[in-house]
Amino acid sequence: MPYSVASSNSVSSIAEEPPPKKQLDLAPSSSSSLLLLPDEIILNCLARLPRCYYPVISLVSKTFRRLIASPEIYVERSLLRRTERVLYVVLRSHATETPRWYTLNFKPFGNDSINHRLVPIPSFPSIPCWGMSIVAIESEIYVLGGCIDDELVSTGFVVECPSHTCRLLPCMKQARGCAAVGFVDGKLYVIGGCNPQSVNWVEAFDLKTQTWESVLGVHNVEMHDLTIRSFAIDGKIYIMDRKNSFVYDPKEGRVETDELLDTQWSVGSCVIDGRIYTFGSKNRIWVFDPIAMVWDRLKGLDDLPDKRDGSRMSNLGGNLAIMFNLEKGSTQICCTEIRLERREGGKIWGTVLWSNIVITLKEPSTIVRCLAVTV
Amino acid sequence: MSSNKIVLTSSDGESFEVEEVVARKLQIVGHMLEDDCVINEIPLQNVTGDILSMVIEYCKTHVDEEESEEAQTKLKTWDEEFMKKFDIKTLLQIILAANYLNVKGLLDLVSQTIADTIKDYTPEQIREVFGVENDYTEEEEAEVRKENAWAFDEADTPKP
Repeated sequence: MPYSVASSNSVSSIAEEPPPKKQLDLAPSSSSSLLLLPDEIILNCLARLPRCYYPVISLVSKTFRRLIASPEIYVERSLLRRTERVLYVVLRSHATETPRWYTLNFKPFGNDSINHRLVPIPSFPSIPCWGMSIVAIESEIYVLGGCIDDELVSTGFVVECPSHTCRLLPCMKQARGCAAVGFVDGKLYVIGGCNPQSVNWVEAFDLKTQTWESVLGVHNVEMHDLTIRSFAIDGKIYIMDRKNSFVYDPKEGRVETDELLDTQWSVGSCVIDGRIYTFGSKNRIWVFDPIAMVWDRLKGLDDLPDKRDGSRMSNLGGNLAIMFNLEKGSTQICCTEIRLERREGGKIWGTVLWSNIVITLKEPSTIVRCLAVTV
Repeated sequence: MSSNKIVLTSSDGESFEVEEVVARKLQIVGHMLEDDCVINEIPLQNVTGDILSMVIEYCKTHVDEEESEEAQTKLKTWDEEFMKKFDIKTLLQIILAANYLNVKGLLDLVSQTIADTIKDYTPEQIREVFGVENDYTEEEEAEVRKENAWAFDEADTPKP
């Protein structure tokens, strides 16, 4: 960041304005500039604004720009409970195969129908282009294993989303590609993605102690070494491999196949309020309740376009966001946000809030992942 | 509840006699009273009489923080009306005073009012209303605008 308080004194264009006061001991007598307030008070004001106003604020002055880019504003937003769920999206260009990260941003001004945009994150740490397990825990994204230069790796790192800085994790005991992951009771479980005979077939990373431990004695019920999708719901981890669906219960140390879950579950799915949402049979959206063990159609969405290959779903603050390519090989990516509501009789109904093209790319791309992060 | 009176004196020598419960809403006063309980006159050097009177008005209204929904709604309406009375210049002075006197509720209220005002404006209007000098060079401003082009630029909006 080229701007700082110290350097602002040397910028000629603000010569007529005194530098921001750090001292509180002066009477505010005749001052009438917001910049004369101490940084912490300005932060307290700016942190109350939704993130979509940041581009406007950053244009006002260098101080504003510095403050909204500072790590302190995230701390302030957390204290004020003004954090937001933001959709992070990984796209992989068919031509370059390089994964790129975007956020779904809302445009506060302009016309009302097309005001959601996928915006590239300028400096997101690079990730392996294949096989990494990605999971969001609050404001952080964990990236584990994957394939680098044709080799599976045991490395992992965490991206702190408020600043998009990267922190290395201790290595897993086992190199993995396409492992299942799930966060349960303060531990991040990693299952498979390696030789099923490995004693470290399941490992858990304790976020408190920042250490990996092997989880021994988990009987592998013929799960393929490559998994496709996994979620943690209510203390259990639901895993999809190429053929079947499984449920891993860390408390019981058991993996079991789940045939009912398997009947509808597809890759581009997500969990909202303890239920799995997915495109299932007849290309419609289905909801799985793991407690009642029932699949049900999501009601009220008969007008929604059919399932599209390569679509991805995500839980956006309790709403269902679906990201999809307009058509196969298209350079345009669309997003639909659906509000969910439980009506009488326990059925879940959806209402489309908006649906539009969120980005037009240079080359066709695969939507690798969508995940909601608190920032 | 004690009806002990405390005299608060502003930087320009104006004195306000308030009940101790009201004075304690100013946490700076609360701490002074805890340190030495015989004080009954407190000089407040960093706040002028006109601003101090607004702070006291707020504290008097908020002296009984009732839990009931009705009382909360009433207070909220009062807060909104109270904020409407002031121009930006006065709001900035109140926020400084609330910070110095440590009146958290008022600090939050003014911060939120300022944030809500910012929301309605363009960068140029924000500069004007809040007395903020544009310290970007033309090139720098263009650069920042480019970084956030998606938020401003209508031209590249894809047509469905």
